Amino acid sequence: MAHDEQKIARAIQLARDNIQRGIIREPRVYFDEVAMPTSITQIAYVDTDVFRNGEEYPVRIHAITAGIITDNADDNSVDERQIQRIGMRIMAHDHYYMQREFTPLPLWQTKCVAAAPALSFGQSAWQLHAPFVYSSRDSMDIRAQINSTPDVSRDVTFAMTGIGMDSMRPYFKADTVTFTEADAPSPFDPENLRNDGDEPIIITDVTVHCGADAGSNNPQGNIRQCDISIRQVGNGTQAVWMNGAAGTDDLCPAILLGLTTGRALVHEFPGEGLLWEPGEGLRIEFQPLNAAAADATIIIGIGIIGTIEVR
Amino acid sequence: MDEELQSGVIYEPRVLWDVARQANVSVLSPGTNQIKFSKYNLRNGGQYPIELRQMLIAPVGYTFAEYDGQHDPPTLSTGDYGACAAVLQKSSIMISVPNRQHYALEPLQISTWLQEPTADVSMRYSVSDPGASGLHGVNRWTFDEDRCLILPRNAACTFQLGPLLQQPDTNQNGVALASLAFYEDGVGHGGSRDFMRNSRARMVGPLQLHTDANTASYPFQAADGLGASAQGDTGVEWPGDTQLTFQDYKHQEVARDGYNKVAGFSVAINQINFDDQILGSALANASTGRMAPVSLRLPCRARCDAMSQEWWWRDGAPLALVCPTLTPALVYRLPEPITLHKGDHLEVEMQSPGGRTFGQNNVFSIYQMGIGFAGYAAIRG
Repeated sequence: MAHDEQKIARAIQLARDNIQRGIIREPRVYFDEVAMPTSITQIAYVDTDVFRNGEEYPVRIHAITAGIITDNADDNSVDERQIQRIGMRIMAHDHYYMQREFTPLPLWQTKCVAAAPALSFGQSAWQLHAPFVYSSRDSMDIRAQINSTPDVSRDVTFAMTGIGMDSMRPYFKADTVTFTEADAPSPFDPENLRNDGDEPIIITDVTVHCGADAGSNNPQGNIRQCDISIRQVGNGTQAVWMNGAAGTDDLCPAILLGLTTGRALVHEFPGEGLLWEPGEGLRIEFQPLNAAAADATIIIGIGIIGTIEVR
Repeated sequence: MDEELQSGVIYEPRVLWDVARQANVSVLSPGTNQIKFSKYNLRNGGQYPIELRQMLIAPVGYTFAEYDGQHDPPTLSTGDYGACAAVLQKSSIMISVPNRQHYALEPLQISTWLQEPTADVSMRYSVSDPGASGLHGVNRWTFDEDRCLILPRNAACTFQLGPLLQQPDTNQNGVALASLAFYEDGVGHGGSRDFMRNSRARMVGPLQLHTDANTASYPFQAADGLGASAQGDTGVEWPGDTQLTFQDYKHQEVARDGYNKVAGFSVAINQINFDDQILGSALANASTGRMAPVSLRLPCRARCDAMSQEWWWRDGAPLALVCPTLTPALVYRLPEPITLHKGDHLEVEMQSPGGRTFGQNNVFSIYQMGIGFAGYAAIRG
């Protein structure tokens, strides 16, 4: 308990310091969706314009996340274990990170993110690497979509938790949207997410849950079905946290946000992570490691998670 | 790193491990059977002191993680024994270093210890098999920051996997694959030089099957009576195809001008086809069972060719027992590290219920639990 109190006090102190020094820290997610080539001799790669710091302030990169996404109504249509049969390599400034050969994705995993089996299928939880300040009257502009039309409907819930900067009381903001059709982005109600109090909140955690089809007997949700876009309105940079390729409308596969618990494979960069100066970026390549993974219906979601620091 | 070198002490990973087996025991009340792990296997037989920091516990040698998959919760009177978890949840343990340190004077229930998060993401469903073992199948040991392995120039590490404990009914040759990697830390601290990190990796050949799991040459035995067939393909203890050799390590050398800091290793087991084949086999209720990770019955060993040159653990440790960062085993960080000097040993006792017949498969269970103590040998010289 004492440890938690220390963490809370430190987060608040950091936020106060940042405000006094005029520093804004805000999460950033760079993501892409890559279909596997149909031959084991071919390579697929991300859009390098996406995996680049296109803003004018440095971004601290903390982690890479990956997961097999699905856009079929059948939750099991693409076997997510295929991730074990895909190799990945990462390059920047003409250097390979870790290994120049394609290394099976599981070998990149550095962190345990397993949640309880009952929740693991539907949830992505992210304890932010750097909390952000959610000022009075601030709200969130959240949009989400599901990837296939459900038999009845699917509920998607966005939630975030934080600590009052003055009172140190906990805050919990959440909203749920019910989806009945695919690829139809819908906003969450900003009123339910608004900071109606008179003190700033230090937001420390973000959670996304994609529920089961209401017409299904299986109550387990499927986070692989959901895309989400997040933007803070009020304080902060006003920019959308997510940065995706053309056509994605910055709607990021929600599985990629499972840095704390979820279904994503998480590679955390050692130490304080990488520092991306403006214009810096990297290239990520994939190769199917056996014939079973050389299948264009296997689409891998890949995300780079960071924090921008605006002075 | 320079400070560590100047101190004159460098560290190598170590694991002391043993597997306790309680066979041919009739139905008894919980807590009446006492097993002592071998103190010879939990002894520091090397020439350097070992500081043990973590404890790993896992049921070893089971084909399924749950045998009674049809009923949840189990409906039969013996149903709660249908899960291998019963080995852990109905067992207690006591650890002591004679005349020096006691973790408890009486056995403590294993499930009440504070566990570290290390599990693979669960797979309760998939396209073809509802009971697959896990999503990523990875095992990893990230060394503690202050105990990384500092490797001299031109030195290398090896990691070797043994043949797999044989499987029931059908020949499963060649269907479980493995990949191995060591990771080296860079020299930067948050800047772009942190990108200059390196790994030495190899996708090794398909895991081979041991010809007879009950021979003395195999480091532990099958626990569930399902390993009766003799369809294995090798009697070799350390097949050449399932190793990351010193040569593999050196061939991936990058330009370096001094010492290297090895931060850990990973072993990924791709058992997708393996799971599918067993779950699709004629084994009773296989389609509703839940596969156990292969790492719970795959022997391994590792060492480097510099410093002590000793194997990091006694030959043949189940892989899951030597990977305290990501593993299907339960992992506990010891509140106070245990230091074993040359010749010191641990005394570990376990109390558990006796063997039972698993409900749906009519397989006689043998309570077989593995224990590992992970830490670091301190080498001065």
